[in-house]
Amino acid sequence: MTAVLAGIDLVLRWDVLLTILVASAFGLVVGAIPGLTATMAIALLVPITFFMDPIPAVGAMISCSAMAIFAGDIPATLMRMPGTPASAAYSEECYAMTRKGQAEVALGANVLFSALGGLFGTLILILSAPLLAEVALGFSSFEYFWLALLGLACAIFIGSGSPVKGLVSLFLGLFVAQIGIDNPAGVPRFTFGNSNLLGGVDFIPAMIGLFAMSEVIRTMAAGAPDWNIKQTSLGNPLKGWGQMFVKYWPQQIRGNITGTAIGILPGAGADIAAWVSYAMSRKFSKNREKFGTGHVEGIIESTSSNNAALAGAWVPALVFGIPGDSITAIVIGVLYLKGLNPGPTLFLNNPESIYAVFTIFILANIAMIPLGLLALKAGTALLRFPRRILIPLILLFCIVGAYAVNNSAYGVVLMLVFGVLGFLMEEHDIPIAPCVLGIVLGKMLEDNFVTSMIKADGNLLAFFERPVAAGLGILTLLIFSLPLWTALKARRSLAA
Amino acid sequence: MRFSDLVLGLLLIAGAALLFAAAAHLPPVPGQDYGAAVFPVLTAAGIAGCGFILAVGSVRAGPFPLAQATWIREPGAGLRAAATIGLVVADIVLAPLIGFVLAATLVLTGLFLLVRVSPVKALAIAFGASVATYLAFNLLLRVPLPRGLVEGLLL
Repeated sequence: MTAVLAGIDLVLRWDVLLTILVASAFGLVVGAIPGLTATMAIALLVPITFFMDPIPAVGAMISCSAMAIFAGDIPATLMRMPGTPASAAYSEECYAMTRKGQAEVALGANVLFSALGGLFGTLILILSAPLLAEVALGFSSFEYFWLALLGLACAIFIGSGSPVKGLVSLFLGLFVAQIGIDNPAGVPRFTFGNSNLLGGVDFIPAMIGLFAMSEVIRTMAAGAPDWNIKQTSLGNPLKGWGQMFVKYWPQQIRGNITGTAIGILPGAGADIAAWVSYAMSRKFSKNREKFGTGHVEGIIESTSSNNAALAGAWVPALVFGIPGDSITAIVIGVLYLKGLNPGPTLFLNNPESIYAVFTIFILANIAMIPLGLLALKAGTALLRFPRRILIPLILLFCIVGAYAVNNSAYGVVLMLVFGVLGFLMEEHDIPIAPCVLGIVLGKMLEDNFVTSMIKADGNLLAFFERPVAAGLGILTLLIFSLPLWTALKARRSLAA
Repeated sequence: MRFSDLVLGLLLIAGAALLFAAAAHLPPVPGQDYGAAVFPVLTAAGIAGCGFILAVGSVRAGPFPLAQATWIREPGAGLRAAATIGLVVADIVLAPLIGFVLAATLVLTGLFLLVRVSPVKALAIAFGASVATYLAFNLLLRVPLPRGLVEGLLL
């Protein structure tokens, strides 16, 4: 109980609350601008968190990401352009409501159910993380090896798109993680005589490059055209809250549960959660024919789901140090920098920090309602801001942010290299998220593999000798063999 | 510019071969079966495998262009992408010589002009944004951005 109170005390300070408020506003702005993702908001925020204490830094990232995921719904509703990929699943539906003159109902539902979904995900995080941490205390290198591999498998095969291209992205990430002197032999590996690379590739400039710089290049190539905004004024977004809450409670509960579960799964995040929940809502709906015509039911389920996923993704991140999505992949890097090394021992050694994280999640999701309503008022004005001014300014932030990591131009060089890489990858439909997870998990995978092999004297079967390791191993191998099985099935049905 | 899966696959196989060759030079760890080369070799094998699948799939799919324009539908798109990259390189080179503010002003002005912002407006916003960013990062966050003539006048 003392730790809980100490945790709450760490958050209820003016500097932390102010940081949360400013980061929320930043998240709202970035999330509401189509093309700029919640992950990009976090990547741009990271260099600023260097100069903060650990709790405000974590608070800024939590509130920024929660707000950005919600704010993505604003342009989705008003312009049929999802602000973040997490809103893509139901942007058609939201826009159909706008065409029917019900934009305020759609946006009102987005605010309310995003906040409720976030709170549900937080509740599960609070209940499950400490229990899982206790179990994880008994884990050895064998279990951690499988967990890391499971995270990578989920990132490739649960996401949309081609699994082969997902694998290409993953291997690129694993290669990047191999650069430097920190390897089993302690020899410089792929450093090409560059002393900057001895310590490995700095994660943050790489993230800024992959997520922000690549988007800047793409938008600049397109000439940064402005958006065509149709709807200019909104009615009362509070309209129908009570009715929706009562009528659609099974949908929101289902969305909350699905979202949290997908979030907890390593590697799968808010965007996948929203797609799955929208499909599920349609499948189980009594009014299936209304979907796509501007019906709020699917919006409620999927908007609950993507915000619930955000909190769910923190479960594996805090307990095992394995990111639940690309946002927590960046967060884990910051946690290490701040001395809050994720893993079960964090719950033992630093419980007040964990309770502070929980408190921030609750505050951020409650604050989403008033801030979200304000954002709806400002939303249309924000979308009128000319992109040809905005995009170059984002590039300036990218440069300064990458420079600030080590106070050297080397960060900017890395950012540029990864920016071009990210741009080329997306040009070829190669997803970026598996690459990021490869960079984050590569070292963990190699360290735990080598440690396990030293312990087992080179016997590979040792990976299946402990019960939990065997279970995780079988699950991972099943996920890896899933596309093979699908391909075989498709070939058989083609032959028939 | 987008390469076909055949070209992409072949490029990946070539990259994997380079990675394999570089990994082969890594020294083993005495008394251990698994040294610094194990993961790079596995990665190289994975990349080569993916490259092979992409190339074969592309050949099976039938006639295809080796490369095709995607976002380069309007003239100048490729130039704007290349110029954006070039301007960041210019910033890396110029900032230590002339200071952050002037270098950032040049880069931003160049970017604004690329997307057809009027020259006076471009210069004014670029200079204002560069000064504001310098002050925010230097004074508030204590980031020692490269100093030059303008920075000397500011602080």
